[in-house]
Amino acid sequence: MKKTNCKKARILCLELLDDRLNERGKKALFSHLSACPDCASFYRQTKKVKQLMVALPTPELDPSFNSLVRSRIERREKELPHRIPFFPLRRRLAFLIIPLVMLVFSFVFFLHKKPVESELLRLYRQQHYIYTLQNPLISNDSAVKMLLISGQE
Amino acid sequence: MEKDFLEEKDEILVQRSKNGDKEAFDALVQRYRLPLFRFVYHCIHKQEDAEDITQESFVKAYLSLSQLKNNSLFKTWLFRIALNLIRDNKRNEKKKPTISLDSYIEEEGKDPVAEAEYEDGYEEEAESEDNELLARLRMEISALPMELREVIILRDLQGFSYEEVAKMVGCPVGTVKSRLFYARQILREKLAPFLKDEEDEK
Repeated sequence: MKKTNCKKARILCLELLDDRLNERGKKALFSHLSACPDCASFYRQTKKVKQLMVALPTPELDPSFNSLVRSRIERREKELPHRIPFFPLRRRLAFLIIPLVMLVFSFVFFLHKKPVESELLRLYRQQHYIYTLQNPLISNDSAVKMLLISGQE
Repeated sequence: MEKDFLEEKDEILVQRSKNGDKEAFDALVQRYRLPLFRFVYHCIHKQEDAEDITQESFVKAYLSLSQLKNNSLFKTWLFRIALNLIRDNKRNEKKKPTISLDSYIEEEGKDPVAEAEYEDGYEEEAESEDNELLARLRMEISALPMELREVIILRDLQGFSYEEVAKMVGCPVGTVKSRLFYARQILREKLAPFLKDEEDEK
């Protein structure tokens, strides 16, 4: 039971250090810390580490920092202003529209164009048509069979 | 620089900078140069590189200002740019030989942290013990994995909220909390023997 409370207490310690603990949580935590020396030590050490973090010294910044930034920006702007982007908007649109038009065109073109028939197939169709005209009662399958037989003869 | 620029909100200064007002951008540089430098320095521990990265962050921010949709988020956006530059710097460093902090101290015969504190006139025993702790803490922070280091510096050193840190490092708030937990645990464990001595003395 105590282990669970200690684990929870350590999480509450970190929340307290981040100012994210409500009054109820604080009350529960402090009552545990007063009874548990390990957790109390944990809280003190973690708090100390956080205080030390805030106190970490930082070297002085170059006093001419602002002017260095300004000159760097000016230098960069001189390199960039007349550069034409590789893919300007017009070019991008062209790359998009042209293939689309070609696709639509080829689709329409192939859809309407009649397929080129072979001469043999054309003759066969002609014969089949004539045969069915002459023999309207005959079924399509029988007509094909007759044509094939006559062809072989 | 005009006085009222220094008191203006970020949104107004950013909008003016977008409209070509360089004085407004100067005010932003003035406002964030120290916190940004502090963050970058404690991530990489090299003054020259830290200054270079800080300057470059402002330059990149200026040149990409039009990409910032929400002017009030300038601060988190700026720190995000700096973080990306730090990560690039880290990647490039792997290709170059590095000098450890310990060898620097041995070769030069001085600890820059202790030296800085001495120059400020710290003479009392309690404060010199703190200086030692600070030097150790700095070493332990630099030994942390980068993803833990970023989070603990942004949260504990810079005072950003969990949500702001999450936006800067590009991960969920839950991930930030767990990284922070591990980072603090590692630092506490490493410094525990020295902190324990302090408690015993008291």
